[in-house]
Amino acid sequence: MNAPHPAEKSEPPHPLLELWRYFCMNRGALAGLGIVCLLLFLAAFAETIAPHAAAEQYRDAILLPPAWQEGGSSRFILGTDPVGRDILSRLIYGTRLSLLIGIVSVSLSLGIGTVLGLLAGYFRGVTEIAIMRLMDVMLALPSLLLAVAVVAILGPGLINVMYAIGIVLLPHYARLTRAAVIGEMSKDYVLASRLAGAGPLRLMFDCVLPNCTAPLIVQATLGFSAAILDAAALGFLGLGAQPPTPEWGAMLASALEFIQSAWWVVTFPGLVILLSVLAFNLLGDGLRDALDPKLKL
Amino acid sequence: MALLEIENLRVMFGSASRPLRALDGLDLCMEQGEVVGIVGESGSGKSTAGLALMGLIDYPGRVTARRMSFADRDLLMMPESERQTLRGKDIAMIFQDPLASLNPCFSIAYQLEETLRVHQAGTRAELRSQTLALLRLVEIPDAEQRLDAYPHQLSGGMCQRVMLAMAIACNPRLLIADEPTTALDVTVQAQMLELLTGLQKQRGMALLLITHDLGVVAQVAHRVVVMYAGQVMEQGRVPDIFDAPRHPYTQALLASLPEYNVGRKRLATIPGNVPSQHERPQGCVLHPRCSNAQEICQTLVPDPAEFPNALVRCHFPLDKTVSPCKQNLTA
Amino acid sequence: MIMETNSSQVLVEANRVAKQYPVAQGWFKPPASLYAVDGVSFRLAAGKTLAVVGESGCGKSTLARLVAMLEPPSSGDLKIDNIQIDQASRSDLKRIRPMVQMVFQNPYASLNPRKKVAAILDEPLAINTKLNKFERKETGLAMLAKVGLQAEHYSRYPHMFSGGQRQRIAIARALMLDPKLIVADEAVSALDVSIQAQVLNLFMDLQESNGLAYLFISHNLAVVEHIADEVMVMYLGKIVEQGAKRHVFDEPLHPYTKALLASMPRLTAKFPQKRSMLHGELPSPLNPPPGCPFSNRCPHKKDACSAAKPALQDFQGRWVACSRIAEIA
Repeated sequence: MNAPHPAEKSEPPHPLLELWRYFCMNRGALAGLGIVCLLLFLAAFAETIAPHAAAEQYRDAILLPPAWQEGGSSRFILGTDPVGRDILSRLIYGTRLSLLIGIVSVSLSLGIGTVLGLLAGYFRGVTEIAIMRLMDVMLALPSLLLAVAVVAILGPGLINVMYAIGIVLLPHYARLTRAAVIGEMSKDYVLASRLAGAGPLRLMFDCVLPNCTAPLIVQATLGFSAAILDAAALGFLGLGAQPPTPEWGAMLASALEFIQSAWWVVTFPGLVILLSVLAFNLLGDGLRDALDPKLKL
Repeated sequence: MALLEIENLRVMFGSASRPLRALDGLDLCMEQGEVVGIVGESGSGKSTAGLALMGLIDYPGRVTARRMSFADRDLLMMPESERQTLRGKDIAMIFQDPLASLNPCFSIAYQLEETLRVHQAGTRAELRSQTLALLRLVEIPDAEQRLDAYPHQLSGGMCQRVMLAMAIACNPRLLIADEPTTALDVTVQAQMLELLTGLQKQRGMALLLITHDLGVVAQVAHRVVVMYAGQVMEQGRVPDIFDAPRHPYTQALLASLPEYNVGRKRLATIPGNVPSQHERPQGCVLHPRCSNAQEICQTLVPDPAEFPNALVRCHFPLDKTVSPCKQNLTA
Repeated sequence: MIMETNSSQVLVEANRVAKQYPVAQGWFKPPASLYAVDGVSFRLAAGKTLAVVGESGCGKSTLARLVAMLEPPSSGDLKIDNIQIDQASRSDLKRIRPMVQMVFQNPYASLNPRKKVAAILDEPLAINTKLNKFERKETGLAMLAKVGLQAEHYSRYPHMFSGGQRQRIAIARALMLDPKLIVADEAVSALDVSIQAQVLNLFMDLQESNGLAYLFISHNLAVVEHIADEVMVMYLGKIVEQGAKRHVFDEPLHPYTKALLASMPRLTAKFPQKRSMLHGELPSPLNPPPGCPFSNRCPHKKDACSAAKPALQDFQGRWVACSRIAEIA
């Protein structure tokens, strides 16, 4: 008689838990995640954390240097801008805007781009040619110019900036999705679903799309940082947020003339942009490494 | 003097707290001109053994052995630079997937010449004529026209012949072939095996053939090592092992082949699955699936028991088995 | 040109089925025609196994896709359950779609890695039946038991299973719609020897219990010898020999069949096997030799062989495509 099969081990860890474990092995990615969490926290509790209101002007404290320099005051830790607004508070409130820009633009471009890529990759033929050539045209234009053009059509303002950035980033997702879909369509399990009678919609969204998410997630986190940068550039050009909105790029724009005299007005917004872009990039890199099946030992 | 002497070769991955024993104790002696087959299913450690011999196991794998020597030179303690001169020149290896083993960016003549250039000197013309001679040796038709072809322009069988040419270019004394015919069609497989054995006899090479195909080993090898889950189950001369296997695993493996079940509706099977590397049982690694398992099998790893012309690791080796071969020989 | 069968119900009837693919040859030349399958005819009855053997490029995988209705044939008639596929109405196609299912070669690529076994088994029922969630789960669990797996496997992901277990899940998936025909495209080729035996037994048990017919594609002649009722040998898209298993294996007629059988490494051979009789390589399917496709490798070739393509003829109770068969046999 045969000895019984060895007792089954307890269930293997959930895939998300495994993902987290791989992710944690990457120090840079953890740092990025930490900074992103900090940004989220600041955005959520801006009212409580910020010492002052974003638009409140203190006529008696115009262009005050940061607290650690002479002439600075502990009321305004990072100093004030040319009209007397606290830079620290504006930066904290600006976090909300930047994150909002990131979320809206990326959601827009991800949503539309993915659908376009799915259609192109699934149906091939004329559909694919039409969609991909359109994407090529969009990619051929410099992204900032394209964004400027879109904003010029729609008019300046933060919402329009989000739409513009969303449109500009669209082709990347379409291309990525199309490539992933073409790879997936030849897989046996897609054939098996076809054999079970699945129609195009089910094949596209239920069968193929979940397997294409890894590169899309990575691109989305990197897209966040691109969105923040583009929004800052548009704001710098005066096309984005209008005063007194505390958007980081707009803060930079209004402070250029003060680079020599009041360095803090320019430097801190610039640093914050740098840090957030870096954080999202590190997060995206970490996610890519964690999601890459080949790296799993 | 044996060409290759291995005692207690082990390859471990993983950490001290969670060890993964890819290979757990291989003893092998090979003479010049001998053909030895290592046979096993997936996870048996056979490919790992070949890679360990070539010194191709990188960190985090750790290779240990009581003794691993080639032509009296110790392979374990050899510095990497010396190992590199040995590789390709005295010990060569061919792999399973020929298209993945050849560089798609270079012509086959370039790759063959590279092998020659590394180990011997010669002008370009000399190397080219040697390359041509090698291609003719492995029976590639229209060798002259094919010299500057790229790997994607050749079929799988052709690429495998080119691999073989690269391997024997410097006249190695030992050739390790890791599943050389698995990816090939059955008629091409037959041609390839003939070529391999012909060259082996011609040059007096020792051939270590790693495969899961028992039929291939039966046709070609002098001795066979049967492995399972990283451990050696049985080893000895091919006619002895296949005619009268003493290990229950060998017996069961042979019995599950379709050709031994002619006339029977259902194939005899070994119940259960091959344990994954993380879940190797204590004691004899086969005991959960073995029909003869007793209590001692669950706790104690069996020592090799010596029989005339065979080495068996089993607490209860089969005695005078009725081999499936003898049972089912149909006219 | 069709094999006579005397069993009850003919499930699949193929009559000179061909599949042709255009291959681009640059801008200035018209596209070449690649005949992956050319002039294949057979009848498969319910509960029987027809094995298709051949080497790479012989068209067996294309034939599998044609029979599984994944692609339409370029010419010829293909009838499944007496319905002509290319002329069938939508409702007819919907009716016969569940009848033909497929099991694929690579167990590691045939299950969707993002879906649990539960979702994989649920999908065919969700699409085709009106069963509610609970009933679908019950059916899925029952099917898992039928293929030898346990209930706890129902909520796991595919990567937690071994090759043999994955293949069982694939078989369970194929059975969910209660098909009449399963196309097994090299279904056991990627499995270890001992697991292969288990899965083959499963195939045979299911054939008995469910009355399934199999179109069994394989290059492993030992496996085919065990499981098949009839054997069809293909070469470069054409049938070269077709007949009952025992006839083909015991007395192969066509030179290619003989060479295939001689190349099989056998353990039971008492004497060292004869030198394989085949030389040369498979010709490119875009440029087959004139006349008989096997002529450039055949040891019995004469000039007449290159003149005309040999038709399948009835010889000693089998179909053989060789113009010189009467002399060679």
